[in-house]
Amino acid sequence: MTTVEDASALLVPPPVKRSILDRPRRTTGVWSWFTTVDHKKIAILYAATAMFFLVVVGVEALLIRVQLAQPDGTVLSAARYNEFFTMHGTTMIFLMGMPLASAFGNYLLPLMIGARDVAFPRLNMFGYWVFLFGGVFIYSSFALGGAPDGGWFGYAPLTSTPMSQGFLPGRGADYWAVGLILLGIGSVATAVNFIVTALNMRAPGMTMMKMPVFAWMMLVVAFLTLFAMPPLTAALIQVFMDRNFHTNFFNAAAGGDPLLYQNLFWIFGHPEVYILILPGMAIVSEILPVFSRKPLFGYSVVVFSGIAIGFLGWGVWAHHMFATGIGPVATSAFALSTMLIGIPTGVKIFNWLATVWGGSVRLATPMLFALGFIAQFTIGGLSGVMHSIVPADTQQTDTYFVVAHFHYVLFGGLIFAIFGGIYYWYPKVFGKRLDERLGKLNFWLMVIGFNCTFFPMHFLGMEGEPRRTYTYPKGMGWDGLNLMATIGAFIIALGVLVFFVNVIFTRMRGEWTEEDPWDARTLEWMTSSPPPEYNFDEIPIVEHRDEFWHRKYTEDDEGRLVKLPPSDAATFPGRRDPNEPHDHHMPSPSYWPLVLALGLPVLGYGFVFKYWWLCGIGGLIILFGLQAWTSEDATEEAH
Amino acid sequence: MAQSVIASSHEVAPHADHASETNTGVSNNKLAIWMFIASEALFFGAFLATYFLYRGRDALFLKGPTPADLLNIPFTSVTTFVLLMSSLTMVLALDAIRRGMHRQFRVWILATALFGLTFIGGQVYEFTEFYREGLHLSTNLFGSTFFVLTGLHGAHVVMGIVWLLSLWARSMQGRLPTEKAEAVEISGLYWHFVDVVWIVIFTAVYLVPQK
Amino acid sequence: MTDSTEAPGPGTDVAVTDEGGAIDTLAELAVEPVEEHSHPDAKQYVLIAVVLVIVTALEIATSYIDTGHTNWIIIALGAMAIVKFVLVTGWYMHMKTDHPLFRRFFIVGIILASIVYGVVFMVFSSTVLKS
Repeated sequence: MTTVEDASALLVPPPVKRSILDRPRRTTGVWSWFTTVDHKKIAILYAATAMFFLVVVGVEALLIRVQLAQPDGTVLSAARYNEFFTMHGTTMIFLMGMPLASAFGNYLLPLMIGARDVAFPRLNMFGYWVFLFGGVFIYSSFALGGAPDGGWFGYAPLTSTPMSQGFLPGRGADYWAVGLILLGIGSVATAVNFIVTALNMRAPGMTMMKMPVFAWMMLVVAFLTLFAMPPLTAALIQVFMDRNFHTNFFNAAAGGDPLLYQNLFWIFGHPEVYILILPGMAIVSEILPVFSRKPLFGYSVVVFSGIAIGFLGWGVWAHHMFATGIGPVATSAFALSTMLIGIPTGVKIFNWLATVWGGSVRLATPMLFALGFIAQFTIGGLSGVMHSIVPADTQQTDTYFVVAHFHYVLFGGLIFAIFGGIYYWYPKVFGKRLDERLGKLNFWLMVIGFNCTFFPMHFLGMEGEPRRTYTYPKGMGWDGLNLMATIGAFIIALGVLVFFVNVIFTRMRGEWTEEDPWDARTLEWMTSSPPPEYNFDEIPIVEHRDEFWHRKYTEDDEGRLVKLPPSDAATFPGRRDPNEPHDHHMPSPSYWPLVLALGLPVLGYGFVFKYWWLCGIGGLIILFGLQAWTSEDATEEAH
Repeated sequence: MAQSVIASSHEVAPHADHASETNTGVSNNKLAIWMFIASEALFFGAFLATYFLYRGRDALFLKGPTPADLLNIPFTSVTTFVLLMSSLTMVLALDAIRRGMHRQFRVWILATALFGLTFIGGQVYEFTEFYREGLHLSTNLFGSTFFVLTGLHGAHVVMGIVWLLSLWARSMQGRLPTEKAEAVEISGLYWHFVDVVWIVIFTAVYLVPQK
Repeated sequence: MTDSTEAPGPGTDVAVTDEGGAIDTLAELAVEPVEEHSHPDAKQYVLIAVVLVIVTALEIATSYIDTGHTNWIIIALGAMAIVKFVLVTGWYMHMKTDHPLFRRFFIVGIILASIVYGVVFMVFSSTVLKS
């Protein structure tokens, strides 16, 4: 057999030996985690880092809740409270929700479409480093100049007034603006990667309409990200310029208009919430069929609904601005479009229900989380529709009613879906199933805790408790429900703790599970658990949706499932040693994503502190990293 | 030699024919740069929208220098012409490298970079002139929106110039063979996009009459 | 940031579904003659450049026209800008001759951006910016 290595010497021009470091080769060991370009390792990095931020953000939330457990709380000062709720929101969205979606997308997208990796492995790793450094950058603000305290949405002119003249002490707003711009770079890079991967790298026979719903939704999310980040970046640049260079974008004295900021921000912000929730919907769309032993009901409709949500999501942004005086024409138009977007969302919910209905349901932990998603997301969606009614929203806006709404969709929805996904794909990634009893305990604690925390907030909001306020006075009648919410928060914390205990317990004592523990449907389950570096021995040829399922089962004349005899097409090699030598040429690891990404926080600090020389250094690092990256030798595979 | 490689590819994945080609038939790199360009279109759109929204408002607030006072259309016409010509030299560069004419490629791509530098020179001159005439970032809305919009565009041009020069350098080192022509095509797509943005800015900012 | 200067090959960054495939694509690139006729040749490029210059000159001339009907001027300028836009994207950026996928995405993006920013403009015009 002519090995590709021999031929490669003929095809690739003689490599110019770089004077710095040759491209690394090891794909095992601690250092390999810094240089890896394997989408699976990168996904694990994303997930682990995001879970770390989950703990951080949970602590912030608990402190907020402790402060609000009683009237006239003294646990957090007003200034500190502002920092905490700002960082809680910012972290949840940018350092937890989006990265976790990236984690799932990264791990699963290539496997589900039968590819060996994403289109741009180094760019993939770069995206991770940007996330990590961006998170560290933003959090360093606590010690280096003051944490962001203008809300996760950073409304101008509160954030855009220069530091010396404004009401926000410290450099928090600068950290926030610069940090989000940096994080946006990573998000766009990953979005481009996913789009090209999903469009260009599907296995033979896998048409778009045979892709798993998960893959479709990640594609929609990638497009949303691609187009939503730029307006945000623009708005943030304008805020930064106003703050630091006295431009007049939002300076009313000069004719600037703070509403411009809100428009630009929410043009980003609304697609952003779909960027957050669609991965959750994607996960649920994969779990429900497996645990109902039925295909997803109305696959095409679910896909098109997802696309419709992606489009319509661009037309609803000013529903965040109903109380800003944009006038009846605008508010009516956006109210209509907001109600309209409830339709494809509702369609999905009905399709999920129809998937479960009549199925042979197993209430394993992933399924519990998925069902919890449906119930809680629906509640959150309903309160969302309530917001779309403009007069009602005028009362609800800026109260805890809104807090209840978005926590139901993002926590009761997205986070539950994520936990479900973790329990579902854990055996695929690590080879062991998480403990089922601890999983159920995790689930129930979270359900009880979550609803105990956030359901009362509907009432608190209707009774007038404002959001983003560090305390409330006695005698408003809010005390009892606030205390209940705080207790709920601690129950949630307990549930999350049980999760981590489960992870540790499984790592220490868990047993290796069989390759296909859930009797699943999609391609990722067709390879070993965990998969080898190159994912598949042979790229499967796809003839059906749920290809794997069709290799295991067929239907008799009465439509009953008949298990097919085991065949080569449906079996897979046993658990693999990651060090086992193989013939598949995978991209070599690389240092340059790390180096390139390092330039960004350097640039960031330069901008925050206006040390232009530091910006220069950051720029040079980036330039150097780019040159090295694009000159990097194509080396042989690591094995 | 391609034969032996294809043969081995069959051995590794005997059932997958043409799995190697992308599903869309479009190269990964090209698809990626188009996606990136689409993203950039939204970015510049935001600043253009901002410019338009605030156009003419200075008269009601801070006054200060207006576009009519400062914009020098003859001068900017020349720099616009230069940038347009740089797009021509860019496609000629791509054409040259595709045909294996590497020295010509280097001439054209260097020309593109130099035209770009000339454009930037023109921008720098214009900015300093305006500054001298009393238009600063903070003077009024026109100062803020104009300098940020055109400044960001200029920054994109500079990054493009760096990109082009590095391709030129690589070619000089013999590391840019015809097989890698796609790299030039991709840099060209970015460069043309930057030119297209200027087409819009020039029309919208300089040429559209002030009310 | 994409790996644009490196030839696809074993162990390079452009991961593919089948590892020999990158070499296939490479072989195609070197061998494929059909692509050529879909690229305009140098003469056509220069012709387009000339047209661009002429349209630009026309634009500049139009901008000097002093008349009360500024709306028509704006429309004319807009039309000319669009012509130049189409020429550069269509021919210099090969959108006309490339895979229709690009064109579709691009047009969708343009329409989306126009609608979104157009709406922002309308929202503003009807409210606070009225003085």
